[in-house]
Amino acid sequence: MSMNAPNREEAARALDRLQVTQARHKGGRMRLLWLLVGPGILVMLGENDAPSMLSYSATGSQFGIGFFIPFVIVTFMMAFVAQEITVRLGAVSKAGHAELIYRRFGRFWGNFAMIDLLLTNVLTLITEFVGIVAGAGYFGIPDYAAVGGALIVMALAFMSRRYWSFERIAMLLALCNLVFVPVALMTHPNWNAIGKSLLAWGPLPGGFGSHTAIILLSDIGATITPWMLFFQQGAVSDKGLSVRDIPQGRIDTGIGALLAALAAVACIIATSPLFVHHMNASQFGAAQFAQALAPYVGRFGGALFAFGILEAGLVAAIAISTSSAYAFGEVTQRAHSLNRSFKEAKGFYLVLIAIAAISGSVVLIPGFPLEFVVLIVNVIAVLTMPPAIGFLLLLVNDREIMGDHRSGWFFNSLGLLVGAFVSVAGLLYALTVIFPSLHF
Amino acid sequence: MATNQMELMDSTGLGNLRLTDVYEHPVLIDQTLKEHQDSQERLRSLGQRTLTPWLTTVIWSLRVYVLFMVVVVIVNIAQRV
Repeated sequence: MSMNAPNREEAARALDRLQVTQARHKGGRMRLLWLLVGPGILVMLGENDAPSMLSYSATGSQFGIGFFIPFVIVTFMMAFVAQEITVRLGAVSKAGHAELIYRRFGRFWGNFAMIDLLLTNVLTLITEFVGIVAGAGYFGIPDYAAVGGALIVMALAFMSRRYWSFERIAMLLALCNLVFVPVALMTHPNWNAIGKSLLAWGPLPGGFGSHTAIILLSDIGATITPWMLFFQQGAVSDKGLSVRDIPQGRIDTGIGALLAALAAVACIIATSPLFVHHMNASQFGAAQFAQALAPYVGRFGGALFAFGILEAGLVAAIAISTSSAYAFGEVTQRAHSLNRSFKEAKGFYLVLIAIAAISGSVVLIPGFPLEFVVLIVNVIAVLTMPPAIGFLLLLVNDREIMGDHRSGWFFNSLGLLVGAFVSVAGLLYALTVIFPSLHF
Repeated sequence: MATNQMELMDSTGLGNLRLTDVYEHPVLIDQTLKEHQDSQERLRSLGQRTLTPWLTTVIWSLRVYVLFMVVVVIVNIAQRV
């Protein structure tokens, strides 16, 4: 850094750090937390994206609440375990996830990780626009207007030229994910059944077969995906979190997991009347859930549900484009900060906008198999997770990077448990595909 | 460090922080981002880590897992079509 001519990124980050220092000295704990939260809440609510909410909708409508409410809560606990590691990695190394993989494992393994990220990000982004178009369609908004409008909102968030402003705009949008809570309440849920489900972890209607495996994997993919690791570590580093801020980073991630789990459970409860009334929802698309729910939650409830799907797609599109651009900047060693102006970081912003625009355009292609991509995207995300968890654990145990902040036996056990769980879930899915008649 | 920053902020009249004001004080920026510069320098000095045979096996196994699963997904797609 040149002391005489600080660039915009350095000045903006210094300003954020000075505000944190002030809050620490003046003892304002809530102010300190307010300044430091963001990446965790954003990544968790961002992961409650359009395909995730559709996956929860399919879960509620085809299986009810029995097995899946506690299951989804457990998946968010696992997401917390993985994301907490990115907070420590980002705060200690001040580098993004892609940069660390390339630096420590070399270009060969780094390229594999990038291919996984790029593949899942592009597919997921397409599904976010499917959600945006479907949600907007409920309100009679044409497809091209929905895609164009979403791109404009995204551009406005990115044009703030301050990570802080971007984060607050995105967080405000992300909190709209909680609209699923009032929709769930409108269905007059059976609290006894919810209580029993939490205690007994059941029932699982129809047992465990091929279809259950896909839903199961899809719900795991709705909470744990590779882009989350790249996004949160990049955001922690862009926000400028220091080692001292790790406790607040953990709280941030915990709050995010809690809010996202609440929205996910609410979505399952909201769509469970379709299961109770034996409606065949296996072929439902995004807007069809909102239409099918209208008799149970009214037109306003249906509109809220459609808005929730639209908003979920929009927030995730912002977060996923950002994760791609962070990774691109880290790998090419070009400027990659939301604190930079467009002129200072052209490559970063062009990747952001281009990847979003291309994905949005795909949705407008007539005859493109949108429903199918939505179905398969979460599954692919889970299947690419084991190597991502592997690199995550290797990096966080790297003495030269982490020093005293590497994981102890407890966090390592939890991390390994998450990796094993994701891998076994994938293998179960493979078994049900290879042996379709298999039933547990 | 933090006390120095606070003193510097007081001496430069930066009680109410704004980006344009911070721009004018490169020393303050430099001091505030010292931890970041140190981390980045430490990272730059790190080379590639040595991959033991055990580690190489683990990473390759995870890669083979993904490739196998890609085939499974393709089979699943074919079954549904």
